[in-house]
Amino acid sequence: MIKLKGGKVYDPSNGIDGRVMDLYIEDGRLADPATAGRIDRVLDLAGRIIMPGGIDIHTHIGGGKVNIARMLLAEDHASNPVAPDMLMRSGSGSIAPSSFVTGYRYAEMGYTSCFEPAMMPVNARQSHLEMADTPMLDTGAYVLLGSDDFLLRLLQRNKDPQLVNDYVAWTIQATRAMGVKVVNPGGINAFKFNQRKLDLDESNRHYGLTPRAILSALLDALDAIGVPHPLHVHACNLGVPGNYRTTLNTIASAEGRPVHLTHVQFHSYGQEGDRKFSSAAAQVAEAVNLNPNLSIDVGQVMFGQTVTASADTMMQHRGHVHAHPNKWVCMDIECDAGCGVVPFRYRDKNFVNALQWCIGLEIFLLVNDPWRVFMTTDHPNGAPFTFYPHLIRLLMDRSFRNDMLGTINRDAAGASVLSSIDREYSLYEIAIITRAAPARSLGLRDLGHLGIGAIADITVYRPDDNLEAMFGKPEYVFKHGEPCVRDGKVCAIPATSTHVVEPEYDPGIEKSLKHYFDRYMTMSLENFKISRDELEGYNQHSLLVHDCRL
Amino acid sequence: MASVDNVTCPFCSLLCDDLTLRAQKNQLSVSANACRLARQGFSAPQPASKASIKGVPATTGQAVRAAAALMQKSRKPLIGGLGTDVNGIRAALQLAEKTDAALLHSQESQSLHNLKALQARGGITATLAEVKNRADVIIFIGNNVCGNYPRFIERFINAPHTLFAGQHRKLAYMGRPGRTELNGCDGHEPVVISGQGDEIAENLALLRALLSDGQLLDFGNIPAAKARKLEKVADLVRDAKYGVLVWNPAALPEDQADMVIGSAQDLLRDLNAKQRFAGLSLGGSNGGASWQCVATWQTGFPAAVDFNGGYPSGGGVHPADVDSLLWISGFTEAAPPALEVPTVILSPYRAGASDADVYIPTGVPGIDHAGTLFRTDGVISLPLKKLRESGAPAAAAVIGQVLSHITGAAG
Repeated sequence: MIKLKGGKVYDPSNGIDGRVMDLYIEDGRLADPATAGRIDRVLDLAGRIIMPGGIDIHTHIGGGKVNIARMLLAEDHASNPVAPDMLMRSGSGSIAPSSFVTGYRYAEMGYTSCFEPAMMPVNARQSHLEMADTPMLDTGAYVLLGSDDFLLRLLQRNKDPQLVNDYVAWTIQATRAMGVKVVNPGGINAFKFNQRKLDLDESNRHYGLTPRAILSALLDALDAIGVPHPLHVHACNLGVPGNYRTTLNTIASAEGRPVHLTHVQFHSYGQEGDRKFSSAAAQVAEAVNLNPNLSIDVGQVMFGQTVTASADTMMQHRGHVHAHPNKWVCMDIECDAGCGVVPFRYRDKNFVNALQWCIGLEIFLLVNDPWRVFMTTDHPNGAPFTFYPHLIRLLMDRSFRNDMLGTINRDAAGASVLSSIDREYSLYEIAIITRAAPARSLGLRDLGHLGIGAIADITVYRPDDNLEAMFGKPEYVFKHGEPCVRDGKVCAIPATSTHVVEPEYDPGIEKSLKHYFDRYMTMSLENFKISRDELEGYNQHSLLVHDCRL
Repeated sequence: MASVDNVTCPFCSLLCDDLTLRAQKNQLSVSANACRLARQGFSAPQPASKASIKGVPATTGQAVRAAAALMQKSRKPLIGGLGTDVNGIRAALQLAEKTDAALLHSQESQSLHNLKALQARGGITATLAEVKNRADVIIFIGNNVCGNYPRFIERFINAPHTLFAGQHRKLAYMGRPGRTELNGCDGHEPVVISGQGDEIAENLALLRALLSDGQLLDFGNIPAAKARKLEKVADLVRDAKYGVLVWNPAALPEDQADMVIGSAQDLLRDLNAKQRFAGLSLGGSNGGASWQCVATWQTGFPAAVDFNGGYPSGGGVHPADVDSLLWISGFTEAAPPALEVPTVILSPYRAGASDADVYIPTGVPGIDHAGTLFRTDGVISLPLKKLRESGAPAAAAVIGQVLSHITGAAG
């Protein structure tokens, strides 16, 4: 047993806010010293700050989109090579780094679990293969539904909702997913029929279905099959000035059902002012505050070169005019969904980009309940995940935030309420938005907290007035109870797992699926499915199966 | 006699997975949905049972140690061919990292044409199920585009059931159609603008001009018959609900391929301003599509990767510079290129084996061991089954053994 002695513990799930206390680790879990074995090792952590390992609820780290982004970004890879050493594999890249490098960089910031938010069903095997090659992290994925022709045909024929429930549960199991995401509901499909925009109550021309109807069906299905994480929604009209109205309508359309709206920053734009682009963060944050059924992640923008990768082909194609450098990819994929990859440079002196930066921070600071707002940059869409320590400093340090505000486009700074917001996140709140809240939302009962029995994924920071430096270089990271990072450097490669849920379904659904696959798809139903054994064989991975509500 | 359904065929990058295989005493035959490549590939005899060192039979252990010694002594090894599955590629990358080797797939020169276009301007593409279910207009660019993809027409153009495309697709060829294509397009009456070499590039440029401003530019004398055909193709394009351009770098003249593919992607960019049109490239057989995907996620580089600087780089690999070769050919009986350097062969086939310094028999992925391969569209990957008990190991397993004998810092 290891004793972590005298650290200052931030464990919001257990209501512990900076209490100096000892923690005990045995067999990879937090142990009760009264009943556990002998103490083999004591680590004196007096003065250190201890939190559960970080959990990123929305980061594009595995699957077709990010790999196509990698193919496009030859320049970034050539100028950022990473050599191997005794422990670590090689790789390259700073924007969409190669898989090994992604794992090391996350761990070196104290993260221990990451969730790929947009796994296409037909691309699930690749997503899992890539995540198996992403070391240090437990991973999981939300499977993408809502523009797939199978579901839209079901809904069009207004079949028994039980069939939809069975299809959703079957897809989660067949693709080894942790939840379900919907992207521009029905819009990726509509783009294949040459529709260029689709608001919440507009109909997909072929199916006559509105995004509202598709959302509603999926919200009901996830509730019925008991998946802990609510429907993960990338709403319509991403990036369009004035889209906050669509966002507010989308929130209302949930009618109290649990829902998660993702990268809300990209969906909180007004149309005020000379440039017809303004912040609607206040309106959206107010809606979050008023709707306890709703959680969000932000998708914060940071300045510099990045690449946007999304299944939302409709909006990515529309956004290609902003591609920097001027090369972009648009793919229609397998009657399932699509993929748009557009490199982008956010510029601090550009009015729109600077205001996007403000809008993200306004949302963080205007949403009252930290349990319902999760920290993301929507890696790599708003910025690479390596900006997290910087983002934490912006949230925790008002004077630093105002200094930064003074360097961006002056009109944007003037148009934002940011300078008038006094709020500073506390360490406790940071532990909520980066650990406890994502774990609770995902139903990870033994992660994201430090109570007895929890998996011992733990991050230890050395206090520093510069919070960016502190969060950028943890003194220790423990994965399953073993140290894997020391002073911000990887010191061991732990075994990792894949998080999944296995909701129940009536196997009868496979009959209609087999008919559909045999007629229309280009692979057999049997080969589409990923078995537990196949997944565990990718990289001596183990599966962590989380409970569904009964 | 055992019969197995839903077998994925690894012998071209369409990865048809509707095959039924029968096995009799480890001899396989395809009993449903065969094509010439599947018949030939699956009927291959069992891999050789014996390794050899300079043509003399050796135990696998001896051969593995000899291969490791050879790789470790080498200052600039090349891992070539890379005809293997995802796990074989992962192992090859790890070995390259440990020995500062370069890696070069056998079809690098072809895939590079697509990559150059992608890295210069991006691309607009569709996967096979989109082509099958949505495409009402299909234009083939090149000569005998589907020649090495025997079931392309049957499965995706003449499919009996589609969600949206119906039975009346309109086809055109810019280039010379192959036999399968002509036989396969009964009732479609394709427009054919045949041409070789730079004529294909020129015809594509003319089509673009026609579509952008409605008239043929004066490129010298365009014969009236050709002009009429170009007008016809332009009409097909304009009327398409969902059109697809299909090309194949191997079906384009080497010196024209960059221009043709770039021009096709430019045309797609233009067209998608107002209508939907996508591209599909056929290629990436022999593990090529898998190599591109895995190399990209592990190293960040989608083509030849060189670890000679101590880290991966993508500047290209020159076989003439290398001083040893590890050749992997799991799907075809292809001897290694004659580089006149010490050579290790990992293959089920004995081509070149007696001349090699080391030969280690490996299984055919999808026959002798299970695995995963990526399809031509680079999006779909399919599981491969183990169909017989030959005892032949996967290339990944053999490379793993070689790695265990290599000492040193990296990896």
